[in-house]
Amino acid sequence: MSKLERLLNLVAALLNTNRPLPREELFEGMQGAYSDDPETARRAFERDKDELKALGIPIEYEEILRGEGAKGGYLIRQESFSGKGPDLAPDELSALHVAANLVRLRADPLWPLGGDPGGEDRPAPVAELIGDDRVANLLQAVAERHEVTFRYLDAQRVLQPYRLSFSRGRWYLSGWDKDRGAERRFRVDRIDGAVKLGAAESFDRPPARLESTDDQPWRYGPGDTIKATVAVDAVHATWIKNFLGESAVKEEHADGSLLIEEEVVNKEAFRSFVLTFLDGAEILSPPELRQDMKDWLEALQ
Amino acid sequence: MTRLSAQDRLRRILAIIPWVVDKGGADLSEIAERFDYAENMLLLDLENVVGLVGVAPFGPGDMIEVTVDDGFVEIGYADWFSRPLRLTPAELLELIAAGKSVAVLADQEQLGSLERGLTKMAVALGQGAQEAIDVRLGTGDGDVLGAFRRAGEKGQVLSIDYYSFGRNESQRRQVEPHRLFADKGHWYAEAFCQLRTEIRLFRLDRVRDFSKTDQTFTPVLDGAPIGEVFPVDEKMAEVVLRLAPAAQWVVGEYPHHEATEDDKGQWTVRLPVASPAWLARLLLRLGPQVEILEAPQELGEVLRSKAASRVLDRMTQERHLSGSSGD
Repeated sequence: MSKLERLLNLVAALLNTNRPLPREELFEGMQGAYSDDPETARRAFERDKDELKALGIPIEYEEILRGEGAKGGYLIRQESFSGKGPDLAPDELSALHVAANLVRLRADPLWPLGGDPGGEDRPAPVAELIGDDRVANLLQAVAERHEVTFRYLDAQRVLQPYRLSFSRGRWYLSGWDKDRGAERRFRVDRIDGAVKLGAAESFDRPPARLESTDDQPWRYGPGDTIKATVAVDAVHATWIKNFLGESAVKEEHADGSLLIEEEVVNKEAFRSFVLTFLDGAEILSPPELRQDMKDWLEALQ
Repeated sequence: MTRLSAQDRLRRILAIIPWVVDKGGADLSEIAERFDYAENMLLLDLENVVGLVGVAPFGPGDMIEVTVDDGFVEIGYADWFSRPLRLTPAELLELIAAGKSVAVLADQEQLGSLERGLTKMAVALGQGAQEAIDVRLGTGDGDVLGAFRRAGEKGQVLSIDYYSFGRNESQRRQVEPHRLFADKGHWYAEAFCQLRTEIRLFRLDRVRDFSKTDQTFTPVLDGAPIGEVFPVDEKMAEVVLRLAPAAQWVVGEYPHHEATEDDKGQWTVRLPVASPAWLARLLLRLGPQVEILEAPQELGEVLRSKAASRVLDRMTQERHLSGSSGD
């Protein structure tokens, strides 16, 4: 019997029952799908069960009360197996399939909604969004509102995960840090080891986003905010407008050069950013920031 | 056609059965196309696998009935599988992530469909779901991305004004875009450059300006793997740097040949030098956090000190201070 046939038979058997089926009874009903050796059969069944769960098939285990020899069994409830998905028009379904292909999701999750009506034209992927098991786990945690526990910078964290964001090629997780009583943000690739999920639906998402969307490193940190103005040469103008947004542009000159204004908290981070333009940009004000840059460069001459 | 694992096939079969049942039958070719399933493989799986599936005691009424007649598929007695598997919340969120990340590539018409689809997904996921995920694959202008994508599909040569980070200058060139992808926070196009007569990588946020030309080329869509963007070239010059603990990020950020950490948390790293301008930026940004241990003469202290002087020269030319007065 092929693996596909065995898995389909297993799902059918578990859907066809309205009481939990003990493993032995399941094996008997499936007529030779599993080995006669109980231990081999048990291991094969555990593997199948994990694979099916990974596909989102809700296999449940329930205790069966039978006097003193109480034991458990398995079943799939029809109401949690299927459910009404979002009702998508063919063009919407098509657009989402294109998106799923473009970023190469682990598996296109849209098949249950009726396949891809634009199926003859599948684009080549442009990025891989979710390559990491931790990200997959955190997606589930954010989607189903599980509290998560993980190690980060040598400390244990317990977090209500509000939000995942992907920026500069990295995933970030933000949420309510219960021990610290404040909203915190973490780099997912720096999480040490696995992420443990608590119970689902254990908190409510905040009504509005607490943190700001941008994440320029110089806007964060201890200390006061100062306004900095920077002259930027024309050759970098397009890039910087895209990067910081039009709102950062204070003046645009005839030769294409710009004057930008930024709020700065972390001065070192801002200096580092301005230096990526070499002599194509220059801090004009405030005087302390300008002097700091001069001192820094003079030491390197 | 991609090779499908048993899991991929299972997912699709569980979706195909209710879809075919619901329609009262469908053409084999249409099912194959819709569910991205090789037609011959699908036929085999339907007849030799799905047709054998059932529940105890596996009598005629306990098994799925599949008939394929002249390319038309009908499925009966599949009560357990008559309704499709629900989408899990994680899958919904994953789709929202996918949709948000490629919205920048879509044209106006596609964007409308995509946004409507995304809204429905978010509604299904509950309050606050729209904001629960945010994806920015790279910085870049949607117009430039869209132009490269369309030019690649249609085989249209683009004329671009491109800023070279390595040479710190801007140049007009004609390019044939073959592949578009995002990596480490930037959008790239792999394109044949008519100026250099070779395939080059272009970072799209450095395209200052573009226009379509009448020239065409034959697009190659090979679906090559998305790999490292910065191949380490054996011929590149190298420098050995000692980094203070605060500069450890350099080790994670750039390709290198060797990196070792001492007991004080300082890193010694051997870095290939992509271009002198690249190294100059790195040295200026790191300042006293880096010590140059080994470098070809022109890439060592001399480079750092010259680069620092150039920036300082600019800062000491008074005309720049007027800022808003214009030239």
